[in-house]
Amino acid sequence: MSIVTNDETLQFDTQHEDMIHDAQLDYYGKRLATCSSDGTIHVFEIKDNQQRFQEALKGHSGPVWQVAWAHPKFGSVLASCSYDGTVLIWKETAGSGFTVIKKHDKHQASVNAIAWASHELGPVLLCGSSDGKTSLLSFTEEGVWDVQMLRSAHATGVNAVSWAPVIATGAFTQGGATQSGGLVRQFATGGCDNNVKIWSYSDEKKTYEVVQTLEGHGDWVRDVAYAPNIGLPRTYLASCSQDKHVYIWTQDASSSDDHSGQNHSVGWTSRALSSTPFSDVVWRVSWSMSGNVLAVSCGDNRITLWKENLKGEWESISEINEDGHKA
Amino acid sequence: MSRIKGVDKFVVEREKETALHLKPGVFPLGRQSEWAAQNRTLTFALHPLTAGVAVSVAGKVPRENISKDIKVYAPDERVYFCKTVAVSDARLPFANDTHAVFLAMQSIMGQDAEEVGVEGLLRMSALYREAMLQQVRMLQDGEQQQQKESEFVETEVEIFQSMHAIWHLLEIIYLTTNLPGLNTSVVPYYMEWLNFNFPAPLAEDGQRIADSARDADALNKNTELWPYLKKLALRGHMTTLANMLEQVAPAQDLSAPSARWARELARVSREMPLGTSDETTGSFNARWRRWSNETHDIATAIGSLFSDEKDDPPLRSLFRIAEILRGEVDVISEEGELWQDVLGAILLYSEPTAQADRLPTLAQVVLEQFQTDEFTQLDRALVALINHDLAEFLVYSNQIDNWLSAHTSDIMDHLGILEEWRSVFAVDPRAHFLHLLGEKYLSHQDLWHVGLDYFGQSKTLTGMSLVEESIVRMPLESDRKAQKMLDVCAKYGLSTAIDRIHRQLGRQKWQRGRLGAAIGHFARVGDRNAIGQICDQLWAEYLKSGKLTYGPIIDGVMAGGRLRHDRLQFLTQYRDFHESYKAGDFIAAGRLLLAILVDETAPLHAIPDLLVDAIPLLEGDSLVFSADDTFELMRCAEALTQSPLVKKSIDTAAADQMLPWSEESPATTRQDELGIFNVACARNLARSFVVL
Repeated sequence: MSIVTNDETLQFDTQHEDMIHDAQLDYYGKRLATCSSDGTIHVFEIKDNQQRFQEALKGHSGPVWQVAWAHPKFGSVLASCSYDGTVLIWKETAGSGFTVIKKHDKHQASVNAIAWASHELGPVLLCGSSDGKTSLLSFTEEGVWDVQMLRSAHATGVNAVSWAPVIATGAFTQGGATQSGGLVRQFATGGCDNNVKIWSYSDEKKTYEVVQTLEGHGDWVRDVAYAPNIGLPRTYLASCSQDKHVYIWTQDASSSDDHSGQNHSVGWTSRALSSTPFSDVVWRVSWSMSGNVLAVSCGDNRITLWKENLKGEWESISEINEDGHKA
Repeated sequence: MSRIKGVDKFVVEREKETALHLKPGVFPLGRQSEWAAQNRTLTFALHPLTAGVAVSVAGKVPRENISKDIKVYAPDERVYFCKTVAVSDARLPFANDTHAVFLAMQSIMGQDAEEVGVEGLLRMSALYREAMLQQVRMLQDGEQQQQKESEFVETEVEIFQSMHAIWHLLEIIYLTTNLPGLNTSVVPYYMEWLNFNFPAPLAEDGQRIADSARDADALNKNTELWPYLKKLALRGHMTTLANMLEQVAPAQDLSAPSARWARELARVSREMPLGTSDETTGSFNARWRRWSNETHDIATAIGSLFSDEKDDPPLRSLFRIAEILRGEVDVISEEGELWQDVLGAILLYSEPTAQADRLPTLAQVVLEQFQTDEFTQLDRALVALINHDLAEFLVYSNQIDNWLSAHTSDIMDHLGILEEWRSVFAVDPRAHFLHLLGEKYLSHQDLWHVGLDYFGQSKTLTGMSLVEESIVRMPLESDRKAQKMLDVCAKYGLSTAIDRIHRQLGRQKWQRGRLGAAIGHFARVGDRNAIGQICDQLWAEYLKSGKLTYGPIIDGVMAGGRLRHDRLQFLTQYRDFHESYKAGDFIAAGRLLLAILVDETAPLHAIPDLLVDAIPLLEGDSLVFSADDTFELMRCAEALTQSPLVKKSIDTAAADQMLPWSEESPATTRQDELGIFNVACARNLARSFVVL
């Protein structure tokens, strides 16, 4: 294996006072937000292999577990969730920096995961908590935040949430794919019950409900991630677990005479990413913007990048690892 | 007969998977378990555009759930920005040159593929090859200038030489020998390919031998001579072979039979038939048979001498040379180092008029002599190409370099030979490899537009999505780059992306105070709301400073005459009113002021200011407003006081301090002004009736 050292790699200290739990780049890749057990979020500007510390956001009273940047059409907005059970939404204004514009404290335990919906659905934030519930924060046309708590789906806790692509697979060739009537309102959650659940919006009940449970993992599901829809005829959903497996779940496009824009449960098929289990707990999965590369971080301190080859099999194409430095 | 190993000069030992090692490391060597047990793992964030990854140490569980004894160290808070794919700057010229050829090919083939035909593709193929050769020259010149060997340069040179070898063979098999109207033997092209891409024997070997040979005796004593001559025979370098045989023939310590047969072989070498364009195949074959029979006779004659003479190494070598010339497969297989050598010699001396479709069969015979499990990626790609196994060919090509798989699949698609292979793959191979190459180029700041073209020219929905998703995330670093991005969007019909880029440019310029340019961008996308807000800002700045300076901005924006917006019209009219008033043309000023109010182009919050502006005109020495005009002004004032929305607008404007000169009770001051206005209207009415 050829080793490439990263002598010219940008690296910097985030100045957190405790362990980092998450780091997220914004829509353009120009800013990085990190969050930590020290209860703060640090924001950095990244440009031309240089970084500049911009601001420390203090508002949580416990470790901050995840951060998520909203789509830039909503302005410079960042969400954070914490072990203290709250979710904060921060907005940056000229001259004032980031200030909290909404505090969501309806969960009874640590909020472990947050994810913004695709911008076509408006500013909607999905939250998953150790209290077993998911919730939705939506900024309404009246200019207020609406909070909707969803019934328990993972009784022992929700660890991960992810929104489905808003345009249905196969809809690129149909007219009106991006009109609101044809948008997919669906998300996935992963929990401590070892399952992945697919939720879909019910027009009748005006809420989200579980439409399918994907079973296969043997331990807590640590992360779920839908791949961006880039015109492929199927939907990809990745899940990773403490059982040391990563599964790629795929669902083909719904029948051509269905113009509702919803992905019906025509059936998910799963495939293990690797023929052999990973050597440790798999903590995170994330898709590239192009939707064809899956990054996986494993507890054996390796981050591997996977890609589907010509034969439709997943193969590892790159690895970032840490073998330790000489003392 | 020994099994010959396929040792290839162009070994491309590059593993498919690359590994990136964090440096400096995050924990001491050998203490990974301890590190991991203390709540640590690695986490990451993928860069949306480039092949970059932000990596950091992450805590698996919150601080509350772990022992307080676990300390936090400096490496725990470090973030590394890694690039998993990088395009070297050294590749920039190659990437740009071949990108231009690629685009031209898509354009030309898209317009009239039949007209272009194989000849057109052959011309463009030659451009690709020239670019590869140019890259090799550039790399080698650079290394020479630096006067030191570089591992990077050596690797790159190997890659490009491999790519050239593959591309050249592809060109021969699918283009050169398929030119319409020609019944072309593949043999001369194959030999040209072999000797250009896998040169042997090396010119420096021959030069060294020649330099050491003061005379025939010295030449004969050179131990490198006879192996060299056998290689010349294998490769069909007949003139050089003949010259050297004639040079060594007079050697004193060469046996008489050796001397004699050296001269004979020299003569036969010079007489080897070469095909001409005006000779029929039948005629050439007849000449060839005569020549081949003669070489056969020579080989037989030399062979018969062994039992009668002592061991005579030069004679044995001459026998081997004769056997090669007569196309003896076993001898050729033993003497050839590379499978390409063996195949070439068999073609040259056994089937000189073979067509390209003979290659798979002959290659199969040759490859049985080699340990193919030791073949390099280059060997496998070449063999797959000869066997027309395009699936395997593309896979191995991609392992050598993604540029190669992308462009070979593209040219094969244009040739119409990829179609039958599409069902072998789970995805469209051409699109797959073009996207891979596009992603790679996207990671380099100077090749973003090249990367986008590789996405777009895949002519797939996915490709278009990739262009759109990538371009809307690109930083708008300069007007020039922004224009290039807009050009790309226009080329691919990405109206949504054009819209977003203009909005982003509008916001950028707005923030930088370039308000006219901002309006222009918002106008392009029909964002009337944003234009209105900018106009309100211009009005507010005028009120604050008291100086009307927005004139040039408005003129610039309205210059095209196509932009229609109430606020812009209001600002234009108000500017004209201002200028008329300054020039003392009060009648014209009054007319303009009235038109603004009647046309209702002014924002609600500006109406009080307009009414106040009317006061000096109402009170002036000359009658500016007629009775009807005055009634109209009074109607506006009435609407102002009656309408809750207008009233709210006044209060809001006052609260927003759009009337900075009223530091206290802006609402009260405004009411006073309206009171003065009403009195002025009454007086003007009276005057207007008297005048009548």
